[in-house]
Amino acid sequence: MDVAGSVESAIVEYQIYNNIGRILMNQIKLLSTGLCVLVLSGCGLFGEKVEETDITEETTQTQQQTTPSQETTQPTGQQVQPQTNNVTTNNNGNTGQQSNNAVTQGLGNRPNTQLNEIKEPITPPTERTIYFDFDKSLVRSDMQNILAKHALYLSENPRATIVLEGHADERGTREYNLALGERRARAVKQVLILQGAYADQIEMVSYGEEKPVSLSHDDESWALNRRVEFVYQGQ
Amino acid sequence: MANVITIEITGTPFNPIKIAVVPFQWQGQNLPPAEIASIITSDLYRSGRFNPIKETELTSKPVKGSEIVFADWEKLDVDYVVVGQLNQRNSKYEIRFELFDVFRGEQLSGYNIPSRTKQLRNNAHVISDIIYEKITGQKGDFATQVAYVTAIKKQKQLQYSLHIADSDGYNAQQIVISDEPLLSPAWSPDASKIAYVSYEDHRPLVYIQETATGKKKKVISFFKGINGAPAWSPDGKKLALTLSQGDNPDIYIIDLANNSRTRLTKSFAIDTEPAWSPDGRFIIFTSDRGGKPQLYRVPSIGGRIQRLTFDGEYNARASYSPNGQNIVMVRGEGGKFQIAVLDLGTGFLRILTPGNLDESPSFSPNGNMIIYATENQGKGILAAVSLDGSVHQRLKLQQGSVREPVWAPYGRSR
Repeated sequence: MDVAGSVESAIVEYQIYNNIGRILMNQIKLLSTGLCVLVLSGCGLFGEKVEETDITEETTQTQQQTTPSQETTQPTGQQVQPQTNNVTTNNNGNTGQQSNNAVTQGLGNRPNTQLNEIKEPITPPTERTIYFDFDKSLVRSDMQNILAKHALYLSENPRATIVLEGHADERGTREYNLALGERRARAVKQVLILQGAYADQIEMVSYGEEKPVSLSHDDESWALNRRVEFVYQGQ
Repeated sequence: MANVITIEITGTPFNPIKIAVVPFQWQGQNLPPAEIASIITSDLYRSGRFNPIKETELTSKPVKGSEIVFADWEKLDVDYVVVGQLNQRNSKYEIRFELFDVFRGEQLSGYNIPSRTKQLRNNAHVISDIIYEKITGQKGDFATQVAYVTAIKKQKQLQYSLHIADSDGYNAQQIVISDEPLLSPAWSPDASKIAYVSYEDHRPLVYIQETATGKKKKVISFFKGINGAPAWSPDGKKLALTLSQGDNPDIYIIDLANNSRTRLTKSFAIDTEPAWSPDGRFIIFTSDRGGKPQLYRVPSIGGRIQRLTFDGEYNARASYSPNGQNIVMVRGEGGKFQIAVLDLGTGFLRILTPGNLDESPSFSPNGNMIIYATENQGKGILAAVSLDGSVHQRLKLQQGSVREPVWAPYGRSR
């Protein structure tokens, strides 16, 4: 093992701290960060898992939003990529149904190592509510970014389906608000489709003012209640 | 269901009829099961037509006609006197009442009404109706019912129910309960059924339920998007409703005999909240085709659409008075939502309520009162106002938030 290799492996092993250590640290709160890295790098026991975790990190990277450890993963990832069958499928941006038991050959320092790929499920964007102005269904400019993430996710995951739940605040009449909630959902649907989602991925239901998230009768509550919620199905 | 209700009546009627309802004599064991005279007094007062004198102002308490000294009542400036008794007959009761014209010194009406315990309150309302009709010449509507929706927070979730109660809020019965929203109850013209919108199938669909049996439940429309705002035609054979089919909501009429559909509106706007004119010729509805929600009218067989309201930011959820001369609506202006009445003859619009979040107005069957939903201390409550706006009444249910009262038409006898 040359110097570059051991630096690399140190990076890799730092990576395992990031992943396994995250779990370990929850249970064993004894080891400091540095100590943990030292223990792991001196010990071959975790070697196999080191690589697995690393590859997972890299292959999911294409679809996932930036993870804090992305940059440290980069060097190893590049080395691994050409040798994995998975990577090409992955680049299609599809739903991630690759075999998760790929055997990779010829990894520089660890020949004939079996790599059981761990595939993180690709999850939809975490912000799942956008808000509206009173009696308006126009998507506000400060909500466009959230909408764009959902459009991207839906277009890259054609099997994903979503229900857009339209809501209104309590002011005004109930049936008009029911219509307003649906108009908001429809406005969101149109933007999603314009940005690449498919119409058959999207259902709508309006609840009008019937399902408020805040029960108070003030501007703050009303602002929270005028919304469209993105409800992904089968999750 | 034992819903505890307190009633609060405020306001001074314009040119009220002065009447004295003397406390009824109780002949029976223990305490009387109902305060008949106070039920009648509340009824007459909240109509806005009467100013019943207080019990403390009475100088005598006759219990039958032969005990009345008319000169005493003339001194009190009282026009009419009601006297009566509540007598126990084994497990049943008998209410006797007599109504007298003080000026003429003669009896106008008098009945002996056998009652079971459960019927006492309703029979007191029946007496109010008789008094009201004898004196005003107009049919009374105190012995009628209202339906309304409640939402109660249970384990972080709202639970929705549809109730029927007496017109003063007493004797409430729950007829539908659901973990999903219920809204827009509408009585059939014979008061035997209620159409309403329920999310029990996780989307808004219209159901019809018979109030007496409670069992029959039928989906009458089944389209994508909104199925809402049901309104019965005066003959009870059709329903006007809102269907969006995933696009802009429009007004349709469904023939209940064969489920055939007629589309009345087609616009890029929201068209909803249809209501029939009493003669069945027109449908009024809410539309924001002009930019903001306003009221429009279309012939019920289809045709030219005419705008009815031009004044104000928000005019919605209208319904006709029983005589067809007025429409009541929710009017939004400067962030406040209040109940207003538009006189279709003069075009004059009158705001009736003082609230910020008043909604769902519904005329009483004789058109003299309007029941609606309002907010009180952060809670939805029911309130009623006389058509002239002079007398206000609040019905406070002790549990949950109450909304969407609809007054039942005549036609239900118990």
